[in-house]
Amino acid sequence: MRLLLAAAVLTVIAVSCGGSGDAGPTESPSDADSTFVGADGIESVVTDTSRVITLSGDLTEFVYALGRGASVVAVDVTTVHPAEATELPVVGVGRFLSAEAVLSHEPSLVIGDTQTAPLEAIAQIRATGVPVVILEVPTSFAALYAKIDDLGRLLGEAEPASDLRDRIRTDVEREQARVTTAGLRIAYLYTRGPDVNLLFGAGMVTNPLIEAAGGVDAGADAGIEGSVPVTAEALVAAAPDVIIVPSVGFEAFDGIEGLLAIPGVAQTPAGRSGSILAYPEGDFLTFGPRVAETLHALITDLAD
Amino acid sequence: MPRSGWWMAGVASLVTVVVVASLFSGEVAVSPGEAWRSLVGGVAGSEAGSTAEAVFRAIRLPRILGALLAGAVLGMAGAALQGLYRTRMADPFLLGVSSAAGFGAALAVVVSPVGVSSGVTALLAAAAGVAVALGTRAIARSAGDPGAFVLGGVALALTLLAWTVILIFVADSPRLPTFAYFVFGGLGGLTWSVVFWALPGALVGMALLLVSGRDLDVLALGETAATRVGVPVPRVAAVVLVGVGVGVGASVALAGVIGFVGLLAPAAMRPLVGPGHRALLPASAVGGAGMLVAADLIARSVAGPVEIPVGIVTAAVGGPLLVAVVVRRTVGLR
Repeated sequence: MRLLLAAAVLTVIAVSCGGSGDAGPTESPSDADSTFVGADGIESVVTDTSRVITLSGDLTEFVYALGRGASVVAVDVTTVHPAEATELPVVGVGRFLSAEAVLSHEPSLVIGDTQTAPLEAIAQIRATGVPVVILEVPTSFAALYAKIDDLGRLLGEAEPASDLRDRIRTDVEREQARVTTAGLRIAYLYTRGPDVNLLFGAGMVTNPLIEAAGGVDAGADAGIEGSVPVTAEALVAAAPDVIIVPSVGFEAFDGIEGLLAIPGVAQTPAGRSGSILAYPEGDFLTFGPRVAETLHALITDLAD
Repeated sequence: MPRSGWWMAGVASLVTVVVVASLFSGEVAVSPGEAWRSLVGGVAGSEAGSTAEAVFRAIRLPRILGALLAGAVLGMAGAALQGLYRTRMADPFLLGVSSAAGFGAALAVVVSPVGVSSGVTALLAAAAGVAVALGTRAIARSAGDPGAFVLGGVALALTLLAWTVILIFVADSPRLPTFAYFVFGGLGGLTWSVVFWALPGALVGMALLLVSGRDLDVLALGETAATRVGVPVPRVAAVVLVGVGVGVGASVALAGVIGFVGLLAPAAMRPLVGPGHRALLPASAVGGAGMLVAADLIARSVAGPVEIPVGIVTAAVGGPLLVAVVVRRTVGLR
């Protein structure tokens, strides 16, 4: 019984990976150099950025992209890039944190986002005097650019951040100019095998990607907020022309044939035409510095 | 010193060993010197000098104190319920009291989504705990035998767990992982603020149970006989059940829903101190406290840095023991 409940709650936690508000972190006007108000409204005094722990893969990638990889002492399990970062100690899962596992690496600054949990663990880390800065999970390109600026201020790397932001913006705009397949209904189906099938909608990082590639987010269009365990009927009603799945799910189902066995998939336009795309989730779901590359792959594949 | 006194001294030493082992186990290595400086500095109100000192003071101490308190309440509540209902299978978890408090705690998380509102959590958990604890008496009076009574309690517990999970699904709160503490039990989130808010309920709950010890002894003769010798049974039951509800509410605010400690602690202590409640109640508190600290030590040692919910550990050990109790009763090996 408890195992079933464990499975239920883990599913719930996975489902909760939806978006939240839009208000980005803002700098406190009083002490611009060391005081930082996070997305959770908590003011942190950051005086030392020499030992950083990042609690999400995109945060790790951004700290490296800002030239501060050498300051990162540990990461969470969602970090898949860059290669040096994957060699670092892993503190566990940022969505289910243990305070002591983080503190054992003696961080001077912990950077998380609004999906970092539980709040109790964050409170424990703060109680030991280590600042935990919570950033917004961006669900639009504008929010992504704002987050890069926030990280730049936080790490004292404002100029590299502004350069990085401009470069990403330019790359994204260049990719968007290549779009030839406007108006396709695209659904992101998060699957790792027969037991986990979540349909992503508004407030997920997949939403701005799909829209930037000229598509209509079929999940968001069907009224889905965040991600929901998919039912066959919901999938058919979303009527996607293209379904994107993580590579791990694609392999777990032995390719398109297996995926068609998920109830509802075969009855969608995507299922009938076999238009199913697979990308590694560490790339596609990391709304980070490599977002233009992800977009490039998606736009290229949609054109085929 | 009577024999039971020696036994209790032994149990207390064992609990002390587990507590010390637990205080010095974790991802962050803490030396005895750092622990001492952390304690002295904490009393003096000074800043912690190192990470280890800060971790010891802000995480380890409240965690282990919380485990001791929650375990003590559960152990004593189990002993009191077993006395009141005259069955060795009574336990706050099996009778639905823990699940009720867990529902109350989860509700508190829903209504106060931002910030850690330990006070609201403790209050709602205690309120729900008291309501269902008093309700168990209605089930007991309708049920023909202890088996039917416990089964009724289990059904109630599962219903309340189901409603907690429904609440989790409906709420879509950023604090979802917090729910996991309340559903499966876990001490990983304990801070001094939680201990502070839960302490009054734990102490009041245990006090109400302790003052009922003598009456519970008389109740062993049955309610009719107890009434005949002048024990006001409905009032005693009310005091015990309010004590159980308030205490278990505090334990859930501290550690979430944890099963089987209330079953195991009295079962382990009864052979050592005898069935008399004036000895069994405090002994079960000591035993329960030690068991929960030990279970927590296991929970955070086996899969580190990820912690297994402590309620899963107690269920993994306690489940088989319940089966053993049931089998012994049925086969009549007692």
